Order: sequence, then structure tokens, then C-alpha cells
Amino acid sequence: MDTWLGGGMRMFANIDATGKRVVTFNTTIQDSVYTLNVSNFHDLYSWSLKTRIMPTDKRIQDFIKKIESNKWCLDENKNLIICTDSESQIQIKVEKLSVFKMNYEIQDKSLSLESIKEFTP
Amino acid sequence: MISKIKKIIAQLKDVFAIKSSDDFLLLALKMILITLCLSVNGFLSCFLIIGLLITKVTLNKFYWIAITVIFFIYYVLFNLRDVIPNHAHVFVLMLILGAITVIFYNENKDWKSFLGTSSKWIIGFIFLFATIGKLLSPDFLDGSFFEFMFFSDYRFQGFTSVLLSDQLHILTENKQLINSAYYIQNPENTELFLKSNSTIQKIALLISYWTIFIEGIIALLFLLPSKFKITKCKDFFLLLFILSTYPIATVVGFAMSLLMFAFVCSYLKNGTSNIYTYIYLILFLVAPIFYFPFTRILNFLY
Repeated sequence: MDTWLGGGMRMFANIDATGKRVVTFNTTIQDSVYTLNVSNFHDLYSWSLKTRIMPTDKRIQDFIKKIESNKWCLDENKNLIICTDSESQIQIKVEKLSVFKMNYEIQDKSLSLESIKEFTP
Repeated sequence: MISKIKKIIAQLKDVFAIKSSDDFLLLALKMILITLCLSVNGFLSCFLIIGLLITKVTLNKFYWIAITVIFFIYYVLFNLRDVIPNHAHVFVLMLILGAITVIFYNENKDWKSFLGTSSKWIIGFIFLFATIGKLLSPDFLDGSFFEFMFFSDYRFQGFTSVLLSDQLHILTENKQLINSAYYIQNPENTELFLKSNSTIQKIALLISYWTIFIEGIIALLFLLPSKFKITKCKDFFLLLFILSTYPIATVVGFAMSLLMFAFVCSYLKNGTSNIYTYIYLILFLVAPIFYFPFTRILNFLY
């Protein structure tokens, strides 16, 4: 759980926090594997809050249902986007959902994202 | 000139004077209600405002039981907030503390001992858990937490600008890099490199150990029995912590909670006000001043 939550008073102690976590999901469409970061989709980012706070299997499954319930389509550059045009709508199936936390190494000043949860439905 | 200053101080003392223990209790309870009012969902404030305006309601045990139940239904039973940060847990403690104190007051039990001891222990344990949390965090002990915060948290950016002086481009570039990390499509294979300098690194480490020291000492001084003479310094260290932390890390609701508990402890120590009682009360009244961008002004001036 995020150190700012839960009443443990551990805030201002760890870099890892809900607002610094990243969620991605994988899906295959027309034999191409797509990896999407939910931060790039405003509504999905809001819905991912509970998953980012504490990525339990139940919360992830609920979030996957929300992802799959969206209307997806491919744009002219074959990027997967949320669309309103029902004619070109694609039904996607989330194959894997991952939650990452930020890691900062003071020695080499490197910032990386470390996986804290991977879920395969 | 000196006599004029003395006269002003005497007048201020008169304004803030706590003339009786009932006055003190009313003040403490209103501080709880104000803190909650400023921090909770607007709808819930309706129930708090009546306690602020009508003294008979402030001291009514059924009122306090009612608002505790309402908050329990809202936050716990129906879970109408997804995010319950640590300071919200402190607000719950304040609410329960207020409710039990008023019940004791109405039942002619020793509410002063209960309120004073509970406030002291709440401060002590908050700082104890905070210190332990930091000691258990590798991010914190090597300074990487604060170095990262200097670049990523907008509340520190005025302070960071002062540290970087003529290297402000480092802040801008790092902010862009950190922001880009949120949108990376392949996080597993990505590594970004921030820039920094030796000043930032040293200050980050210094602040880390200063924080552990001050929070640890506050925990110790508030949890030790009063018979230990060293506990006389507890108000000094708590005030030092408040004044050195909240102008930068502005968490006003938490600061107000702390000031309320400290005010209570300070007054109930001897059943009378001392200099710290007045300072805590005045800081509570002007707490939103912590939102003032002190470090940005420093940066502007220098």
C-alpha cells in the first residue's frame, strides 16, 4: 500500500506513492501485441486509482473489466485508441496487466520503473 | 519604546487569555471542528458548523456522538472516499478524542487528564511511527527520497531553485524527464537519467538525517513520563519541527491537528497557559499561511 495511506504515518519516507505508480496492459489485435500505458487515457487513469493504491487481484480484475468495456479502435497509424465510432470498434481482451513503481538510484541518478504486480487473467 | 512593546504584548495576552478550564475546553473543541471543517468533504462541514457557532452544541455529548456516527457511516460503512490519507486517520482520532472528552465533561469525570494524556500520546506515537517508517526505508536513509522529491514535488521546487541557483535548467529538464516516465509504453526496458549536483545531494542527505533526528526526539520527549527533566524541551523541538517543515511541505490539515494536540498538552501540563500555548494557538489561527510560497520569494530575492 502507498505509504501516504493506511494510517501508518510512513509518508515522506518512500518515493513509491499512488501518484507515482504506472499501470500498463497488454492485448493482441490482428497478431500484433499492444502494450498500453493507462496514463495516456484520461478516463482509464481515473479508474486505475484503486489498482494503483493497492494492486490486489480483485481490484485488477475489476479494472480489466472496465478496460474491456471501452470502445477501442485502431487509428490510421495502427495505434489502439478509445473511440466513439461504433463501426470500427474492436473488442479487446487484456492478456496481462502490470503495475510499476518508480525507483530512483542516487548513485547514478537513474530513474526506472519496477514491476510490483503482474496479473494474467 | 520597550514599555509600548510590553503594553502590546499585555494586550495580546488579554485577547488570547484562557480565563477558565471551560474556556479552554471550548477552544480545544472548536479547534477540532475547524480542522475537520477545512479538511473534509463540503457536505460533512454542515454538521460541523453548528458546533462551531453554538456553544451549547459544542459542549453537547449527543452532538459529538452524532457527528462521529455520521463520519463513520460516510467513511467506513459506505466507504465514500477511495483515498484515506494518513492525516485523515489523525482527524478520526481528533473526532473520537473530542467525543469522549465531551462525554467525560458532561459526566463530571476527569476530562482534563484524559484529553491531556491522549493528546500527548497521539503526538508521541505519530512521530514514533514516522521515525520507524523512515528508518525502515532505504530510499530515505541514502538521501534518494529527498533528492527525488526536490525535483518531482512542486512544493519543494522553490527550495530546489534556491539550491540550484544558476543551474535552474537542471530542474526544468528533470521535471520533463520525470513527467515522461508516467507515459512510457514499455516501462520494463526504460531507464532515465536525471541530473543533479553535489549541493543537492548533500542537502538531501542532511535533511534526511535531520528529519529522523527531530522526529525521533519529539517521539521520545512526548512518550517519556514527565518526571524526566529532558521532557521540558518537548515544545521547543515540536515547534522547531513545525516551523521548519510546513512552510516547505505544506500539509496544512496535518499541521493544524498537530497544533491542536500541542496546544492541549501545553495548557494542561500545569492547567495554565505558557508562551508555547499562545504560540501554538496563534500558529493554528494562521496555519493557512503555510501555503505562502516562502521559498519562491527567497528565490526571487536571491
